[in-house]
Amino acid sequence: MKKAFVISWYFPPVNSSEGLVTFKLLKNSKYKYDVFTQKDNLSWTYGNKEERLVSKNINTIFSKSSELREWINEGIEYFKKHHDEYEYIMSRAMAPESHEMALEIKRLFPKVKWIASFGDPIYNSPFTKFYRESSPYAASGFEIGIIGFKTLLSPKRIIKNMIWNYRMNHYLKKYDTEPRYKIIESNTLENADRIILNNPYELEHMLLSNKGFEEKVIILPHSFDKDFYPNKKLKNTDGKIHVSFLGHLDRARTPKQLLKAIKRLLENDPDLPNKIAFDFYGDMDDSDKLYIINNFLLDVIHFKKSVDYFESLEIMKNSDWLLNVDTNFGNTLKTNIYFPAKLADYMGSGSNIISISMDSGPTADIMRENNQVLVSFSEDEIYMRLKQIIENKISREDVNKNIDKYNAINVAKSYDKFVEEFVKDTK
Amino acid sequence: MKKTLTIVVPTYNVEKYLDRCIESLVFDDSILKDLEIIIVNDGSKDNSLEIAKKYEKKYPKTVKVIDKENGGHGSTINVGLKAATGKYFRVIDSDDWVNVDDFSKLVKDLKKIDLDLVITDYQQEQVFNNSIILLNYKNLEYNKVYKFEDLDLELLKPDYFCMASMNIKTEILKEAKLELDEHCFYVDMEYLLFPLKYLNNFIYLNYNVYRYFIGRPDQSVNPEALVRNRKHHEKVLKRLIEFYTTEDLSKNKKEYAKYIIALMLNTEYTIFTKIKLPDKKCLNEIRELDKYLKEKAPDLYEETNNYSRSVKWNRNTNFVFAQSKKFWFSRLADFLQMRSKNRENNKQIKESN
Repeated sequence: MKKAFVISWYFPPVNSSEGLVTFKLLKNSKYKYDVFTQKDNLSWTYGNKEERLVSKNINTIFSKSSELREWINEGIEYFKKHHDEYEYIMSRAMAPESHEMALEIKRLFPKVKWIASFGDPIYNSPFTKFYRESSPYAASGFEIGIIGFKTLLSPKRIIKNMIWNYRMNHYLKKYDTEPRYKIIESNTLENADRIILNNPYELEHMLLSNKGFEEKVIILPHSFDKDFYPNKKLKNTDGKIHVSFLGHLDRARTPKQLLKAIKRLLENDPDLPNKIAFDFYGDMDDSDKLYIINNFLLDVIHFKKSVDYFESLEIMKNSDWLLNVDTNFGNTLKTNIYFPAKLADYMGSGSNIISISMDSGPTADIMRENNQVLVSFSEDEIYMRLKQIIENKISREDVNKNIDKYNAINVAKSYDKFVEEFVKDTK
Repeated sequence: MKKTLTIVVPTYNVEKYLDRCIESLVFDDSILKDLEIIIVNDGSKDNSLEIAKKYEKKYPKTVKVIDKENGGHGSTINVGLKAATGKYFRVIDSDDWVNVDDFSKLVKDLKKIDLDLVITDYQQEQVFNNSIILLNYKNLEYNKVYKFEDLDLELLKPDYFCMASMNIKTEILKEAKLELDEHCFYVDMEYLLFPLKYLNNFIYLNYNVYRYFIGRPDQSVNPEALVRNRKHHEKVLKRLIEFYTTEDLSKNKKEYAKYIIALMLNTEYTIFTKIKLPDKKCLNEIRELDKYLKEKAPDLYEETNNYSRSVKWNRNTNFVFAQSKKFWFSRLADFLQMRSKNRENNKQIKESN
């Protein structure tokens, strides 16, 4: 088989979740790849120093420009010159403009075979609804009985409500790129020959806004690569249990309930700093940082600088527990639809995992099938589980018994088989 | 040695949650000898029974599993009560859990207490929006022994004792021959009232024990579910009305029962007057119940007139407008009533200031 042309805005040496996911898949595949990418635009990344992430079967082609629109044009021009070399193309959704490039290539070369991979849904993102908070100054008919006519007709309330809505709409404009992305997503789902998604909940959610593409879909979960971890687990010498979080936290993905639980633990046990340490590597929302500082939790919770990918895997391997925090979409969704890529790397490290997530979704499934610890967004439940961790009361039988399906070798095998059939079917 | 507390855990298709519930109960090793946990598997079709048996194997002196055919929430409590040997009895639903610190303290206290009923606080865990609602009895004093006969019911209002807050002496439930309806929702209301005759005293302890899990916004108040299960609601209601009219209760206990049944009646009328029904013919159900209530328990009938003006208005119009577009009028009636109550409250607050 000839090579594949992969369109991915993020790819090593840039350290980004999507780039690493793509790299692990391609590295373990038996085919050859040319990846069209860039290395200078570092928004939504942790730098561009992943020089060790190279593989014989992957050739990286960097664009001259790090501006999205020019990157698309450069990629198209490149493909025009080299299209004979490739069996098929694959576009990776982060950024969605990768699909835009693939759409244009498909328009120019209608016979080109195209696999489109989606990390998260582009359109109808649960995050948009998440950030749309209803106005506390609104007065629906149902509330009239509670607030009374005076408040209902109060100019002060009406103006406050208007200001709230104006500010909310303005704020959401940052996230609300829907009109353009809706077109990209629906065109991609319609025109791509095959679609890759990372979990079935994502498929279910995307089917709400686009119909009829499910036959083209293959579910390929995020994966871990055993080659990247250190061989030995180092034991902590300070006698504490080390719980590490690696990755991105923000206003939506907030550890607030965990912080409250730690605060309560510390109130009940002043010796807590000698028993357990929480190490946060990466970003955190300022309000959460302030909570930690204002509640004197710095003896237990430590902020650490961002680390490169290999170092992060080393930390995962050497930690007693790894912490995963998902966004709580409970107000708008019945299930979480996101599979955090870090969870796959966590599994590969073999360490214990505690996840704060919704009770249904990819995280919940993974935690349950591997006898890891899943907790809801309840301070009290987290408090109980942390006490169990400190007192070594959590059963560790059958831990990680079902992680093989997340091993990059096995995921790539499924992918290769899928590609083989796809190439044959579309000949 | 007799156990201090029997906990019945009704279990039906809860493989997602059962671990959390049981882990919270067995957390403190020092109270295991005082606990009897009876997990009653109600014909689950998922992995719940296997999970329950895992705990039975791990804690053979504490955890017992009873596996039975599906019979509903009430049937699990009936079966659990028959098997219970502890001094006190309580029910913890398998998707809920307990606060490990306060639960441990409660069990240690129950060992020393010899009263009919022990009340504690509880909280709703609204995990869908990261919030909690503490439910306590603001007007009752902690650690004070109350006698039902002397209890000023106004101290309880607007709350009442519920399954999540009650630890009852097992022998009282057995003496009351408590038998809840099977294959039926809302039987917790039967659990609250049927032992009433035998309850003489209680104490309110300063522990926040029960964690009532609410995973979705529509879980606590789901109008569709109320409509769907309205026959169950009516069935329990009629059984309570029957209990109220036939049981020989003292004056104060009768007032307490009346208060709780009136709350339930209010919900019943809400189903028919404020939630959209699948068919207007359903209104015959409420007409019949209303007629039944008027004949069977005129004082309860009057009580609901006092509770809601819209009930009175719908009664006067034979519920003709209950589901019509004109039902904004009944809402307006409620609004006016609420407003006058608010005014009264504000007046009281001003006066007390």
